[in-house]
Amino acid sequence: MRTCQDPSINSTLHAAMNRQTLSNGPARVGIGGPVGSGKTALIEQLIPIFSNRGNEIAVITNDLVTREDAKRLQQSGLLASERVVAVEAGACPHTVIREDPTLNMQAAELLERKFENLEVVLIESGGDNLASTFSLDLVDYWMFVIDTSEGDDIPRKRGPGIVQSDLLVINKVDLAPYVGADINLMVKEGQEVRDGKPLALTNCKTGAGIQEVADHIINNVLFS
Amino acid sequence: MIQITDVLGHSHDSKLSSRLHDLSHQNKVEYIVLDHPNLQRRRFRVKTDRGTDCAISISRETRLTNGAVLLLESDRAIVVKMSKDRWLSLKPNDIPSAIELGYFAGNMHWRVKFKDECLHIALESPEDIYLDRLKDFFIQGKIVRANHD
Repeated sequence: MRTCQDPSINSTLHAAMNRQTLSNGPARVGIGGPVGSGKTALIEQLIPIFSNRGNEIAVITNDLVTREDAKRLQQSGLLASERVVAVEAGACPHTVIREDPTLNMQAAELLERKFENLEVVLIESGGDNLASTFSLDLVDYWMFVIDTSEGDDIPRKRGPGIVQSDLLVINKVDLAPYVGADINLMVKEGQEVRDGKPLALTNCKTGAGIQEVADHIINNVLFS
Repeated sequence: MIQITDVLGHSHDSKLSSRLHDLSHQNKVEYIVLDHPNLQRRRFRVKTDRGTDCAISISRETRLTNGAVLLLESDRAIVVKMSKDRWLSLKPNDIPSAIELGYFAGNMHWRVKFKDECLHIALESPEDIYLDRLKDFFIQGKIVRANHD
């Protein structure tokens, strides 16, 4: 990849290179995981990284019967409120990212029509267990977010989200000592059940590990 | 890195097959090997069997298939090859066990097919993950492993 010492020129260069692939629309990235694991906090950390690279971004949130996650992002000031769309699943949100993702596909298409230079759509969806997965008709790449306070046995429970996601994110690493979670064990067992696919450790409150998550997205679907 | 934004056709298409045939004799056809779930992807990064780095970004209306031709140049072609599915084949010992197994497989969102009184589960993760989930069925004698053709 061509790079330059001037960061502002670099971000322009990144954006220009990625627009070469825009004819087929923006990349769609799924962010799933149990309620409270830190998905929205992860998005709040990712937005500035993509903005600094010059990538136009939008977010779709999926909630059961409210628009809480969308409101939180709209009020954060991190991106214009019209770039955040809420989907109310009316049932466990995993049903609208896997079994019938039509609502989310329509929301993504709406954003793509509205923002013609859109490059990344982040699609957030909770799920009350480890079985939540994304349809590859909906997303190009997806990650599953768990956190240390759920217990360090989560990776070895081998739910489909743990095993099949493109990236496993273990969040709240700072809480591990307070809840008796062994991070090394989580990493070891996560690697064992994921057949070589990557995992990342994050603290979404401080931003630790977020760049690594962004790099996985950049490398795999933004191609730079 | 090669950027691929379209599917040129299928390897059996008359317009493409003769050129592919010639290139294959020159050992210049590279393959992107994908399993069934990954064939659904439209935008991803992958290496060919020769190590060529490919950034694929095709339209949402396009589907990759076994034999899809992604690149055809004078000195190189890139073709999609679907890897053979791996199956876990199970034979229920009686009808109640068959019903319970079918319900369980559906609840686990496993991709299955039925043939010769057996349930065949497509393995999209290591086999021991499936066997662990089915442990009680085996212990209780409700199912036995069978061969898959």
